[in-house]
Amino acid sequence: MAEEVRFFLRTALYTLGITVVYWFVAYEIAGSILLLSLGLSAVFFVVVGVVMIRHAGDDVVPEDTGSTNVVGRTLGFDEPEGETVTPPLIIEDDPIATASIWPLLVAVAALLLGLGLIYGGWMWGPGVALASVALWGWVTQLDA
Amino acid sequence: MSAVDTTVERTSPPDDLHEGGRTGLLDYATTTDHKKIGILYIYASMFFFFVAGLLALFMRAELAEPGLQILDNQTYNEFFTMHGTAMMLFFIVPLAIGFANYFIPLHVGAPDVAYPRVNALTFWLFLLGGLTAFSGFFTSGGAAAFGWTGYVPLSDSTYSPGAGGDLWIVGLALTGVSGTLGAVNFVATIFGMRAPGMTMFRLPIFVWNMLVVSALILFTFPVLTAALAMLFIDRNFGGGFFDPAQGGDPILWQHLFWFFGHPEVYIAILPFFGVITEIIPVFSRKPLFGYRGFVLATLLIGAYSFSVWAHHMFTTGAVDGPFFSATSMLIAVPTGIKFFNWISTMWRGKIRFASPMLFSMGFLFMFLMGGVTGVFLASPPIDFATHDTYYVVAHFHYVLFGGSVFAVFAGLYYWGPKIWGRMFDERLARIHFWLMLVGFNLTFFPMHQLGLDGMPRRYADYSAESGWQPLNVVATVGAFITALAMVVFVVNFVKMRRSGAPAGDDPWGGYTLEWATSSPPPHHNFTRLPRIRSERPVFDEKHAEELEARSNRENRKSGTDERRNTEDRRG
Repeated sequence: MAEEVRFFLRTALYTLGITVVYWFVAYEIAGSILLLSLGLSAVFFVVVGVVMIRHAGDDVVPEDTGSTNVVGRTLGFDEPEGETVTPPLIIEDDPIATASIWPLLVAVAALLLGLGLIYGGWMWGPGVALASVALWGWVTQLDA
Repeated sequence: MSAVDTTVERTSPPDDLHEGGRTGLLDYATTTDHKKIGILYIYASMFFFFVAGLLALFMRAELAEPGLQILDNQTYNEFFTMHGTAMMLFFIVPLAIGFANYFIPLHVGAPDVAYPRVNALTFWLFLLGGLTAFSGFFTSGGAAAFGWTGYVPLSDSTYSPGAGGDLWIVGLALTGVSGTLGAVNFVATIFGMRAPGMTMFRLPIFVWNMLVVSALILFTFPVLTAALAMLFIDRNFGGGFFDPAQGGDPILWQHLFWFFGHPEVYIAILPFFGVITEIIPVFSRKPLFGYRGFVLATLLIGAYSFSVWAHHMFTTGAVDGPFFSATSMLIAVPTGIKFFNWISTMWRGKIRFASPMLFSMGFLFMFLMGGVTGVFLASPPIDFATHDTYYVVAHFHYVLFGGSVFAVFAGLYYWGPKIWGRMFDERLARIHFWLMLVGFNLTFFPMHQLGLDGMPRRYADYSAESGWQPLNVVATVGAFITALAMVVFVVNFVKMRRSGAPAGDDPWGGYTLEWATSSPPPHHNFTRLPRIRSERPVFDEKHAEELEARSNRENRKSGTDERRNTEDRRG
């Protein structure tokens, strides 16, 4: 099992264990439910991790074997095994998202929606409009 | 300066720092480059640090003598509320996220974080959230004035009417969402973007710490955001989550807040454990002692932090004292392990006392004091006697100022040359360190005694007969010395930006991958990567021949000198 999955597995085991202890020591409901939901969300991460690794068809991720991974291939790394000199990095097509105005606009829209709760619903007009435009621009990767 | 061992001189930064041909403000408003977002985080959180520090100076000035001279009670309440909120949520955590943004991709050998646009969103949400919370000062009722913990019923609409409290809630909710998204991003980057050969147990300790911090954020920030939503509904839409008259429970707020709030304390300290764990081995010229033990200790602190929240609530009488006392004291064990790691790393090392190392040593001493008083406070009888006194204030300032803030400056002096490509003035850095050390201790050490004498926190005034004034004067003088230290830092920073000596790629003889690229790094971070065969790839590459010769020599006499061989690897 990959270290990535064990990381959340340990969290899940500890939290679920301490939930049981806490319940029988304190009989306090708010904390028990908080701990239980924390443990279950950690279980969720474990399940997702296991499924993803199954899906990849291998127990070990490339980073751990020393072979190259997706990003490495995209950026032109060769296999590091055997060679003493690493090849230079060649970037032909930019694989990384370039500059974008949409994150800023989504944040401003979120602010308008939040302030609308305080100062009155009229702020929701521009807020929803801006959120729609910004999310549309973001998901379609509109260049801006 | 003997500390600088420059191998490559660079007179100007590389010119491919701008994406899409944009420059200036538009470049920063639209950037998705993790390095620029990291710099934005650092600038914005330092801005909140100076604002919140200014509020603290007003409070210390007010407390210098009995009676009300500068602030009235309401303003004082607003100041300590916004001081605490800003320092915890708009300074220390975002600054850690700024470092993480800049250095996690460099540390794991990736060209950027996993979700660059989400990364940009987290910054803008945090900045707008912080400004929203502070905008309460410009409303007629003033900013939030119920403490950064926002306890009900004080924070409900009866006792804290006005927009200030609502702005605080909305601001924190935006910041909370930002933190959660950022944590997702870091986990994905660390799990999915590592360079060839960078296994989990070759990750720099800073990355490990940020991984644990990200998990803490993932599991606890949603609790805060939910609690804030409940409080907002109670205040504005007649909800009764925390109102006993409607069947609610005020203690529920404390449970929810501290279920977030205590892991939050570790979110505020673990990144800085990571920072100084990067610094101490480099400046001791030794590998970190007990890498795996250190990782284990970090994981344990993360796990334990989930089960200690109600030690903040002993005096409610509604929580289980022995359970929370035991779990809280247990945290001292993994923290103690880390101290042994740090000390054993320095042991018999060739220590260079350059500014990053000085601040790291300051961290060790100050944080230790805060940690020890923390163990005292985990004991319910002591907590009952000192709860809400200045003893607690002294405790958490030793942890968060003496700990985290010292490490913030250690990190800035260590990584500043990488981020800005220029060296800080070492002499000014030393002056900064000593002023801050003296000022900090003058401010907060007397608070231990004030707390034991019974002086309660969060009051603008105290009686002249209490005998608390002399120590308060000492604390106030200390606060202004600390402020002077900050002025020295700003001068040093401006000087570095204008005329600092070029840093070169690796001014400190670093171990981790960020030192394998230029300062500042190009748009996609690396033009070449060294082979990664240990957690010190840059060191391995620079000393490849030496290491090989030594390994051959030792292979020849293998068995006779096994001890030294294992010493070179890790214990």
